[in-house]
Amino acid sequence: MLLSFKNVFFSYDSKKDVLKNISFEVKDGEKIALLGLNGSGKSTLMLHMNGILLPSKGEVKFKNIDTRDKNIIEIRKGVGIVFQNPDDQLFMPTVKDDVAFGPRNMNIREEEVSLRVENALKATNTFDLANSSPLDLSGGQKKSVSIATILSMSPELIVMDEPTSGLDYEATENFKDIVRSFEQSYIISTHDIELAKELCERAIILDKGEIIYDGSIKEINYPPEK
Amino acid sequence: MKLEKALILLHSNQSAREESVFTSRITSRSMLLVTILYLLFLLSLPLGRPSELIWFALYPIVMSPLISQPYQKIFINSLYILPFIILIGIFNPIYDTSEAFRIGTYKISKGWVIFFSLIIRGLLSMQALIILIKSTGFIEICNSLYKLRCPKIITCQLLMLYRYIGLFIAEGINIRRSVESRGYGKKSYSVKIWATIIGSMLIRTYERSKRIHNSMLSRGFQGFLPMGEMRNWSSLDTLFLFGWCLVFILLRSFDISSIMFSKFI
Amino acid sequence: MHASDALMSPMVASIAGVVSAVLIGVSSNKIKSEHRQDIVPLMGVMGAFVFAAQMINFTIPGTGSSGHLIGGILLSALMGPWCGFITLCSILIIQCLIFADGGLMALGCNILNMAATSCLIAYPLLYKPIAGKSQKPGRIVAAAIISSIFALELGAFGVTLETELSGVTLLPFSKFLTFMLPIHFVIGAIEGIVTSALILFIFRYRKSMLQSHIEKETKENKGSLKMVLLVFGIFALILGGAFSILASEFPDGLEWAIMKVTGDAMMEAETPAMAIMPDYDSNFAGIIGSIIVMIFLWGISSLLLNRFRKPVKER
Repeated sequence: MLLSFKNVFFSYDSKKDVLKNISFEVKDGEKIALLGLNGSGKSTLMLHMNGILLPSKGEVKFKNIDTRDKNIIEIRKGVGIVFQNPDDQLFMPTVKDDVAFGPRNMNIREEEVSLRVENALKATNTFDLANSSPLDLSGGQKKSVSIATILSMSPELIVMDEPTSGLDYEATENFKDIVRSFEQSYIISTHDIELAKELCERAIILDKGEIIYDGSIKEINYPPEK
Repeated sequence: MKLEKALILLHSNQSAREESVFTSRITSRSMLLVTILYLLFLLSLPLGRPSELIWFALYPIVMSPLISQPYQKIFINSLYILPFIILIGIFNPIYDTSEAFRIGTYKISKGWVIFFSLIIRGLLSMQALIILIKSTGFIEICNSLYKLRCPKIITCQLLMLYRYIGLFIAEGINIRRSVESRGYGKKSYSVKIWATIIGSMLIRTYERSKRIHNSMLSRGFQGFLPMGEMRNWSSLDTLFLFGWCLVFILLRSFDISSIMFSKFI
Repeated sequence: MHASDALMSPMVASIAGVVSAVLIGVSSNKIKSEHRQDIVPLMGVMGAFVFAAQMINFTIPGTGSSGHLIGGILLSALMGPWCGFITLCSILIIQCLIFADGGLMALGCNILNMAATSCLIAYPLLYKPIAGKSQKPGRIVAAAIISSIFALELGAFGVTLETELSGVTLLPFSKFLTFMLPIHFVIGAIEGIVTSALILFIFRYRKSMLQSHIEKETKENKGSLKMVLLVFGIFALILGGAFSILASEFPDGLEWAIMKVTGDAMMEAETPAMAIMPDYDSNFAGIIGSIIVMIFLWGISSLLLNRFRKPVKER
């Protein structure tokens, strides 16, 4: 078992619960689509997965380490989040410094950092952009580099928040190729049901902070008919 | 400065360093040190010696082919400093009308000589700064400051600012275009509209900072940005630094124009 | 107004540089002691925001001209004085090293005149006590205007003092101030109005942005509001108005002080310029000869322009 949520409740202001009684598990090798309307709680749920947010009630564990544990750095090594807006993810002046950010924070030797950066950039077809500024990249390139910033950390679970929003057809196809090459488990939050069916086997649907479906993606009726 | 011009300058800073073989091999530290030494020697020269000041133009003229930038372009860009110099310096000829020398029957006052010296000084100091900007990587300067044990807060701040300035300038351009397209020719806005536009941008900025922080935490952020590798100091840097140091000492110590043109005095 | 290298002597620039470096060190330690992990991204994007906002002009009513934000008081109101100072310093450094705005040697002077005056003096001593913890709109407007005027007047005084001490102009100190202070009074008032407009906007839509550090700071604030207002009210009166009128008629205090310090050289000179520049060079032939040599060297450098240029493929 890789990740588990047990009876998780969360509220930003102690008045209204944004997440209500969330319980599910993620096993090794699973490919999950996280679906739900805007405001259903998907992003909030994702931020619990690596301990950025902590539950008001219940527990979240990654490989039996509670996210409330002091050993949070182990969780952040294991769970990599690709944020929706690449400009929030790419905060270093050059691409290679951004991709190296995670490994350097893990106190890895500089030689190995360089190797990881090279491999991550090659896996996302962005090796030529290593010395570029994020300012000079197209939307699709930024998204690919965002994924590289997580791949360099060699996580066991990759979580992606709306990875294809704002991308054209070619960039979306490029993204799909990158994801198909992943060896690790992943969770994709998306509004694109066709993308979800192509890349994932399991679907978790959120509605107003609660899980209303958790099962095979082939059997879902989403979005629900009016 | 206009937003578009700022964006162009930012892009040219990022690429200028790669245009020349020389700047690709020299470190930013040696360029910065040479520039500081140049300015110290230049500014220490008394203002009453314009013929000695002119010799300091040797530095920008020699450096311009080394950094593959035409001197004409550097000179024209340095003219930007003139209005400020003239504003302050113009009082010298007004207050000091005593004679310096004559050209035929025309009397040139000491005030005018000092004014002329100020202008030379202004142009040359500006040219030195332009050469520094065109030949150094800002990121490498930040890494150098970090290695020199400058407070991490300021080096991280400079890197973050450098990264996000372009984004915010681009956002400023978008906002301005959006308002202009419904502004019927207005170039600036009333304080109320301005405050609404800038206030919204400020709130979005604050919320963005939280998202960036989450992104940093997700990748093991421990309070400061880890710095990358730097180009090592080489013998070329030593030669460059000491070579120019010697030249500046000679220019400062000797009145070369008197030595060369003593027959005409 | 950014000070230029040409208007500073190495001594003035070096002293200002050392003082600025010390202030940066102190501010960094203060920020570090707050243990706020989110401060790195916050300062970074706030700095970029202020930089961009400085380039979006607003119309000054009744004048037909436009102005722009400077941002010292705003940054301090949002993040505290130490973070505000470091952020404004970084903006000045980037303006110098990337956009050639303001000199490299004069960076220390610019940091003192623009960042230190607003964030480290005007904000804690004027804005904070006047605005108070309650942050009522009227108090915010008053605090922003008074502190901005004070900060800009102090900055103008600093520029004038630095230029005069550098000995680059024969304009008497009092007359220089008469020229600088009224202009910066107006600029300060405008800066205060737009700063208060922004803070009120934030106060209306995102009060939490203002409150977190305010609560922390007001716990530390032990000063007496009345005493602070009295002292700086007198100071503002001197800088803003009475000095400009009185000083032109009376002996200049600073020049008298400088003459006392430097002794005979200044006292005996016909004009101050002669004392500061003793080895006067009246060699016109030398000037012309030097210019001719430089033009010749310029020609050679143009011929060598592409000698060191990298092929496009290698860039």
